Amino acid sequence: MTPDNLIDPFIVYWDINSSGYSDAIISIICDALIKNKIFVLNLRDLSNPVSTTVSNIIDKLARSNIKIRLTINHGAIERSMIKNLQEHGISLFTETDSIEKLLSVSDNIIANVSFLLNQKNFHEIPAVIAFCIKNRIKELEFPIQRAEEGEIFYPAHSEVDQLAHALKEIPLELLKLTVHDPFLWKVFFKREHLEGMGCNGAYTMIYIADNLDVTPCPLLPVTLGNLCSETLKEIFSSFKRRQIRKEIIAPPYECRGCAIADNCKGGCRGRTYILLETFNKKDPACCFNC
Amino acid sequence: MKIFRNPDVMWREEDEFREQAYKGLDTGEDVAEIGTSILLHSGKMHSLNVLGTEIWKLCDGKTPQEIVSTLREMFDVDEEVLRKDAGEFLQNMKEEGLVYEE
Repeated sequence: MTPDNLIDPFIVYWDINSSGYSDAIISIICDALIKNKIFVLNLRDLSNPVSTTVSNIIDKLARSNIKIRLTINHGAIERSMIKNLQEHGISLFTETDSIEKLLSVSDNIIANVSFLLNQKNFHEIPAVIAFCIKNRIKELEFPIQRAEEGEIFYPAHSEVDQLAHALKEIPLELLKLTVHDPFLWKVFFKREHLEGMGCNGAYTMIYIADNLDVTPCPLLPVTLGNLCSETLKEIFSSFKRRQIRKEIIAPPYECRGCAIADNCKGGCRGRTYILLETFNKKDPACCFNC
Repeated sequence: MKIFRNPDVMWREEDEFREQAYKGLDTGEDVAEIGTSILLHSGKMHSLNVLGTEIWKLCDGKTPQEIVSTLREMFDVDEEVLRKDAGEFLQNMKEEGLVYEE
């Protein structure tokens, strides 16, 4: 798939603004999601309690085929909410960043877990997985970091090696795991190469920030447009999207000579862009010896 | 033996590329590389060309023979070739978990 025959994205991430949006804006966006045949909407609302905007969006998409995955603050979960969302066929995730917080309310957890990785909690991954398996949690996601939310984290090679060693003892097949980071993905799914991988930002997925800016990915802060002034279709069809896609799929200059560059295409392009301010260098988290 | 689409597969037709492919068919162009539908299953994306898309849409409880007969009405292709191509394609889709037999 070249930038010239780009398909429209089918996975949308949307972080909800705690102040909410007007009903008209919500209607316009939800109608556009349906019209553009989006498959999956990943909603994230970390306000506590969960904002009414979320229920408004869910109501508007209720009769569509869009699969909704809702991530909420770990402290905002209620039993009644879980039942209600399950009836709507919505996958509910609670977001947390420490095993301690997970353990503190384990009695209430029936939802899936979204564990936001950082420097302090990376070593907790095996314990989090063990916790999820023990508590029969169906899905565990290590979500995409948000460009605007603090320091961009990636583990050191030694930490990745330690994780790979620890995972050998864990029956990962008992849990549905979602891992976005390409180099962690390699560790979890025990693949030598990143065949057919590469960044999907602005290709199959896009991100709607809380201010309705649309970017290729939560971790790639290049604005393609804003839904207050442009339609989703206009943004999908825009020159900006084609242009950024062209930059994303071109393997970085630094990766020339690497045997897997054509598959990997430089790892996480957002992380590289934020940390090195260019697309033309390799991902700082790269664990291949090129 | 009837073939059914796996209901867990999310899919859509790509209207713009579908139009492009059918225009190409009319003028005798090779349209095999034009993806006219997208399937998403278990995190993996599959792009189907115009023939693949029509086969996919016919997996609603039809037998392979019924699928081939319907395709014969849509495409100007020799029946033996169509049977072989459709058979291989259905087998691949079965292995990918996109369709099932009953």
